[in-house]
Amino acid sequence: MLDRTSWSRRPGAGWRRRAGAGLLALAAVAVTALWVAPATAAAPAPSGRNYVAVSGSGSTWSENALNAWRAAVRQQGMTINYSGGGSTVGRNNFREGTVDYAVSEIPYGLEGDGSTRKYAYMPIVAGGTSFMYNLKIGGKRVTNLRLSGEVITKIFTGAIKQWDDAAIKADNPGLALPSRKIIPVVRSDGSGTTAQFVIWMNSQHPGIWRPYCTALRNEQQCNVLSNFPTKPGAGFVGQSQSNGVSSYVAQPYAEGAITYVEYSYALKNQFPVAKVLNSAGYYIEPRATSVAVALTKAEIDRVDLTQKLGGVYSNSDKRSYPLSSYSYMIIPIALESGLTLDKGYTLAKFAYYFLCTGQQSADSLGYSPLPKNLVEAGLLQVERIPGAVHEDIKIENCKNPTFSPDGTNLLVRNAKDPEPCDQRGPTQCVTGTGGARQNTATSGNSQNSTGGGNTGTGATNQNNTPGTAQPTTGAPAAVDPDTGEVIGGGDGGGEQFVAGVPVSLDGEGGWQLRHTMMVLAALLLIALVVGPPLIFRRAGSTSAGDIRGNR
Amino acid sequence: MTRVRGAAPVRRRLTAAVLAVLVAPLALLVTGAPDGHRPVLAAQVADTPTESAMTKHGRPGKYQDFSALQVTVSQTKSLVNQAITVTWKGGEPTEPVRYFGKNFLQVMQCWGPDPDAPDFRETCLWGASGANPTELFTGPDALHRRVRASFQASGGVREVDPAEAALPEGVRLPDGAEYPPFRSAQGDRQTWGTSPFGEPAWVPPIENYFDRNTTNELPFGRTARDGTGRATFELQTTTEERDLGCGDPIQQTDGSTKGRPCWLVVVPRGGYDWNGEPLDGNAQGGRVVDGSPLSATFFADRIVFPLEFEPVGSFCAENSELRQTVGSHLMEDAAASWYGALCAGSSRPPLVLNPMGDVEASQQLRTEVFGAPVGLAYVTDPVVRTEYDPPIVHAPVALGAAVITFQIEGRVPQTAPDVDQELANVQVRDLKLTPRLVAKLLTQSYSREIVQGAVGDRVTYPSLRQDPEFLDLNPVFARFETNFHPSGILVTDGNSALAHQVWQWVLSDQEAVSWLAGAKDPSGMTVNPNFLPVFAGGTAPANFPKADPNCFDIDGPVIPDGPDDGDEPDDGTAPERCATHISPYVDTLRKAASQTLRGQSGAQNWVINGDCPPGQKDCWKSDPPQPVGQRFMLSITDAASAARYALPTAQLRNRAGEFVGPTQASLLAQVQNAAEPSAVEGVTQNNPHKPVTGGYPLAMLTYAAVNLGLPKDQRTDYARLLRHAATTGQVPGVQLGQLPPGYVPLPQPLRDRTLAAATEVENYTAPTPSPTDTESPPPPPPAANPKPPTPGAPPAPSATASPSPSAVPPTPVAQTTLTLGQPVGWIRFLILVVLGLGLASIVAGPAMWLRGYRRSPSNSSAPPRT
Repeated sequence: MLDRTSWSRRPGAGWRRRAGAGLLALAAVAVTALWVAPATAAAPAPSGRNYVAVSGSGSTWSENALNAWRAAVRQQGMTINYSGGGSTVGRNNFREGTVDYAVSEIPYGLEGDGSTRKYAYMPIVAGGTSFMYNLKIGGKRVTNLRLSGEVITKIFTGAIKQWDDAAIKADNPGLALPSRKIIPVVRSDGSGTTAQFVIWMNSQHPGIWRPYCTALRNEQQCNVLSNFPTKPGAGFVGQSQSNGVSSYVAQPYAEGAITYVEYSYALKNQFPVAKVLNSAGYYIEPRATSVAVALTKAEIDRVDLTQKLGGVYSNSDKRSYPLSSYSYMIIPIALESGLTLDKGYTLAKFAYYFLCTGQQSADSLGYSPLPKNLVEAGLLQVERIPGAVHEDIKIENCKNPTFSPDGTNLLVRNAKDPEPCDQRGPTQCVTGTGGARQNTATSGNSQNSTGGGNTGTGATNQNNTPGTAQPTTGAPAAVDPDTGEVIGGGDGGGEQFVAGVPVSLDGEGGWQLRHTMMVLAALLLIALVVGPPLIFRRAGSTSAGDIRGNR
Repeated sequence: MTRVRGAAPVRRRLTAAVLAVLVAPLALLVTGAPDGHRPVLAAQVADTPTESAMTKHGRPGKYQDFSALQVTVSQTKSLVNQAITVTWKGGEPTEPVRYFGKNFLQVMQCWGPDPDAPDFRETCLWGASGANPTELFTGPDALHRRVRASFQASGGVREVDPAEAALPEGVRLPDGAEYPPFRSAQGDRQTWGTSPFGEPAWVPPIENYFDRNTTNELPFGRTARDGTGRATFELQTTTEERDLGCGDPIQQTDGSTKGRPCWLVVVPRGGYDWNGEPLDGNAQGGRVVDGSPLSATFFADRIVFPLEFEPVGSFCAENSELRQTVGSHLMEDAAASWYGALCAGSSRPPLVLNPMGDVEASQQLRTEVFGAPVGLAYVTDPVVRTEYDPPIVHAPVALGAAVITFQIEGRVPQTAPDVDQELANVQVRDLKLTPRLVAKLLTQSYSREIVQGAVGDRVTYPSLRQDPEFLDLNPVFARFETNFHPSGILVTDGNSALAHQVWQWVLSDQEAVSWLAGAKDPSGMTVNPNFLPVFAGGTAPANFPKADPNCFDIDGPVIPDGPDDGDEPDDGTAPERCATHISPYVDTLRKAASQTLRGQSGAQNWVINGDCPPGQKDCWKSDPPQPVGQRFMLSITDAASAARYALPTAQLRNRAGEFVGPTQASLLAQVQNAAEPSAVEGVTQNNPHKPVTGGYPLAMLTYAAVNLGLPKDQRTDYARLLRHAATTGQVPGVQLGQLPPGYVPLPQPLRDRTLAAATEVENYTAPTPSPTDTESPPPPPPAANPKPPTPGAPPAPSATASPSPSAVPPTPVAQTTLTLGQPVGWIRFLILVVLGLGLASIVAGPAMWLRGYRRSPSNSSAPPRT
């Protein structure tokens, strides 16, 4: 049995909370046998504040990152709870005071909700909305698809329905795109990923997005939606959750499907993602560096502290991925709804961890680290949490991979430029993307970058099929150098490659007539070249001399 | 000070709004025979009494003597968030057979300092299960905190427990109050107020603190006819339920740290009401158990077990550096234990694990990530490096297994004979599966897993329950109701070594292979034809495809068709429901196990005018959990996750023809006898085709692949991890740093290899001139696409890399020359014709020459060439 006498002398945790300030807590140490405190190996917090459990809920988009960070700070004695029930749930829970913090991709207000509880927004983790697709040409998976923003918007508004649409071909001069129906796969549940995508379409391609959306929802709603609006019979497929849309696309029957989803799901399924055209004219994959570079142009609205991504979408750095964004932590800035100074202290320490050290794991976890501008903005917000200790929150000590302690922007220095073949134009890189790093051969005069890949990480599998990885010469797909349009035989051939009439040329085994004919042809050719002189020589080598002599 | 938990009437900590009704209570896992403990790895943990097991007798109560009841808790010390078992004997059998009218146990966790104090009940986590007791013919208030009840199965006038009046001031409820308040370990206590409907002395709902998503309360512990019973209980630490605060680190005066202790409270519910009137337990209009177990009368009968928790959290110094490790989800539990121990009291940078599939992990190990370098990857298949990659060394670190786990509680027909009624609500502990049965489960081949009407003319069954092949092996199921079905089998999305190994085992069986190719099983059942292409190449997929594309309009005629002709929610019509809505994927192995335990299939249903997010009238909702006592869930997960939730695991038929479960012996047998060399020296792989007597076919040995190209100080930290993994990390136990349940300690030779690898990692010096000529690390493997020499083993393990299940070459490269859909016609013979003409010329030319030569022979010869 337990020592009940010591129990009875233990002050209640609520007492500790009431104490708030350090003095009383220290007094408690003196008069009680036991006290509740984190037994950190580090020195006690200078403020006398303690780590206590803090709970939050919200975004599933950020859940992997939060889980990794929670596990990391738990080693330091911080208990941070989180449940990923979705951004909307998180915002509601925060407003209702049932959680201490929330994580959301969209701020209050955009969906008609609000909070009387005082809050601030803080960037937490960045990532690109990526477009995972399932497309094959001649039975081989395409891994190097490129899409412009306009084409993406048209695909997800039903304006482009076929993979061999001229606009998609224009983006992909090296691919002989099949005449196959596009299956846009969207989230059927409310989702921050949808919201981020919709905000981008509404901002960058309103002329395509708004006519489509306003036919289904009202003008206000079409600015941002967490439920994707779809038209009956338009061929859209709705699936719940990120694993729903991504695993749908990955199914064997889903050839032709494309969805918007977190990059990590493409990795998990070993599927490629589309490279998206940026305003510098390069098609870029949503890798950690390209998202971080894009977000160097992110601004935080000074009035309501929400994100302004206009500069991100149109970032002219040729390394930047246009659909880059980040999720917010909604943090409490008043002692209300159960927030205590100890909780605020813990939350602030956690926030400092993930804005700095924790960002070192972002790439590995499938996200992108926050660049310096967002970290600075975030640290200003952390200081507003009641209980936060200024001494603990300093940018000089912030070990974020995008900048060094002296302020050097490591991104600018370390992020690699895209390969020339990623530039808009007649060439197209062959290197794979996302979770499908294998090359896709391109036709025509494409450049090849089989060496290390344009991202510096593309070494996998490249040597597995050296023969087929080379650009195929002799393909009849001529390319108009001005438009990038495939002209001539390309169009005609593409028309014949209709969905539902798969042509299997590579999978057939066995010896067939054509093989016989090929061998026959080769033998004949050899005979033609070698035969005459041999016969000539053998039959009468002197006759040549005769002829010469006779002349 | 009362903590204000907000204005919302219901606290929803988890996904409440979206994935509504999940019942968390680890309820009712009862069996009549507690001695049937075969040493199954997963269940072993909870079943095996530990040194700190404790047995207590019931009390002689006011109206009923519970002294004969003897309750044993499997572990009471050094506790963490874990499953323990509560077993009992000498109890009165629960009646009636199908339901819970009287005589059962209720179990809960409490934190209060003094279990004898009158206000102790206020500190108990009870009243949030959300289960519907009337379905089980129990009084509606038996699951609440309410101390007012009627004891009538059919309702009736409610009265307050008379014993309440005798409680001391401060604990006694005010006039008109019915709910004892909850007091949290953080110190707040619910206060009485006026309800939204004007009722005085009202306490806000307990959901403000905990709810059906988070509670661990166990409302129904069934006692079999022989007086025994068994239940699994999930202990929650402060991490899982901070309002209980169990395991909160408490610093002792001597500087050491202990976890805050808590209590396990068992309240026997007998055959009397709180006036001493007997209950008949008759579901049809009789008198049944009712009223809260917290009510003064019933709570007085409680049996209390002290629970000593480990301090939650392992504390490390803050450090701005970290050492990243990536890889197998099978390592999550082990890594959590090892990493915490390694950084405690150390100034070295802490290790973190980013779980991911083998392929992505090996990619990250070999290439640069933007951030902290990835120095170690946990893999099942070795990392095959290319000449550009840094040298890599492999070390075996953990032996685990893929398992098929289940939560099955018998549902028998009401008309069944008594002998079958004995099975009602009793947890099934034994399940035998063959590769073909697993193939059936994984190919959406039973009709209930796809949309109605999509089966066509194919012979199949609704589920396992009616499949003769299954019933032959598991005859007890024939005694269950014919419509007692599992909702498919829960599997994870994405590619994984675990999925690959499951398929390798399935495809090592000729019976399964021919069935997957379209052959009939003995009863005529055939595979869902949508899967025929998946297996046409004979390759084991690295994922669990759900290849059936059929959907149907929810509000239209039931005509299964493709997914993309759909209606949509916003025009007033319902969307399409597809097979993926019927059995969705889960994200992680851990979630697969916890959903199995709770009976949550995750199946999505379209609800009209339901409780939907703002702005939506209709929406998708997850199915509610299956009713307690009638669950039928199956999932594929790892042994550690199954052990975490004390779930039983299926016995699988191995190549030797035996049914073997995951035990220490069977895992070791497999890994020692079915191992064969892989492409990387020193790394073995499981050969699924090799018959191993007593071997469990899904044993999985995880290797740590360490990047030797890192700086010395980083390598030192990884070497330290390897040393820990080879020593303390192989000692089974739940303590920080030990080998958690669900893993088998490595045999000594493997540990020795890991220790040697640690030395190698630490002392590695890069050869200066030629990066490919290294002495100490294993020689670089032959370049690309290695296939271990496995005679008679078609699916080479390294085929995990295959991105598409049906693709035999791991890296299909899209063909970009135009693929003509029609033959080019006669023109392809043109060259032949031309060449034919050439042949004619060859023959004709010299022939003519010869003729001419004969007619006019030359008299000179060619000049000799020099």
